[in-house]
Amino acid sequence: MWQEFSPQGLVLLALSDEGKGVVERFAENNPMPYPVGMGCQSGRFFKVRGIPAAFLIDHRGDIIWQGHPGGNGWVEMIPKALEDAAKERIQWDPGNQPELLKKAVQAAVDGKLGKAWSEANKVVKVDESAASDFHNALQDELDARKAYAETIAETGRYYEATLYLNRQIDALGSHPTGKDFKKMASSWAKSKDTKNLLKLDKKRYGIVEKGRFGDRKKAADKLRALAKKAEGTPLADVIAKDIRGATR
Amino acid sequence: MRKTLLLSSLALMLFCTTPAVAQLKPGAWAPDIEVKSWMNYSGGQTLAELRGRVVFIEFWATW
Repeated sequence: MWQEFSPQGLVLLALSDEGKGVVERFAENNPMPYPVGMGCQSGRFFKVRGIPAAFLIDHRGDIIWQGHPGGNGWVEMIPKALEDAAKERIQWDPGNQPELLKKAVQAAVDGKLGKAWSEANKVVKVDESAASDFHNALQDELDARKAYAETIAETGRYYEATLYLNRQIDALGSHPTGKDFKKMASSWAKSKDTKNLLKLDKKRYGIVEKGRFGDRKKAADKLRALAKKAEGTPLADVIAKDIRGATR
Repeated sequence: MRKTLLLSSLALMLFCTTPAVAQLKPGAWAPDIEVKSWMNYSGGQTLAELRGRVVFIEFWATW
């Protein structure tokens, strides 16, 4: 499964509560080419009663399947889940760039877009058209990321969109678009229309993230109180969905 | 003594008849994960970092 789906973007993690020594000794005779997490006590938060137990989690962090990993139910769900994720997640496709731009392409693939930009700058004098093709592709990617941040914000999730922008700003380093992203984030924080939504969404996000580790009932109660404040805003739908997620 | 015995057996009965907590179901938010060390992996350490990706996790043991 790992071999089949990880090239398509699925992250498959095998988690054991046992320590490094035990698992590594086991791996000597039982090859495990896939990612293995050790010393993981998180099963209790998933209320796991017996192992093996598996969960399929979608791009929004919601459980979409739960069961015995030997069953086939989850395998059937993967193509659709990956398709949904691809709609939200921007994928960098460096295309066929010449050898000259190898470092820039690698940096871009690693998500270090600022470094990719500066590596491509170094090539401008040697092969201007290749460098400019690369810069254009990078700009298209950044435009798509900007649009994605706006898509998140349109649902009222201004805090989540801000977190997304901040990740892009980190990845961009000294790239000039980093400034645009900063401006966008700070305009949300200042504007009368969005300031309140940003605050509410920050609360919502905090409740959900804390609830993931602990008391879901309490989280649901807090969300219900927050829902009253968010009435009539686009966040109301988001909060309603979060309440359902806390009570399943 | 008898009272304590009665009380503790009552407590035991209650404990045994309380249904086991069900595993989280589809539609629930996934909790996050905490892992001490990884093998064959250098990607996102938590599900929060992996938001945007589809993730399959399996709890297992060597025994």
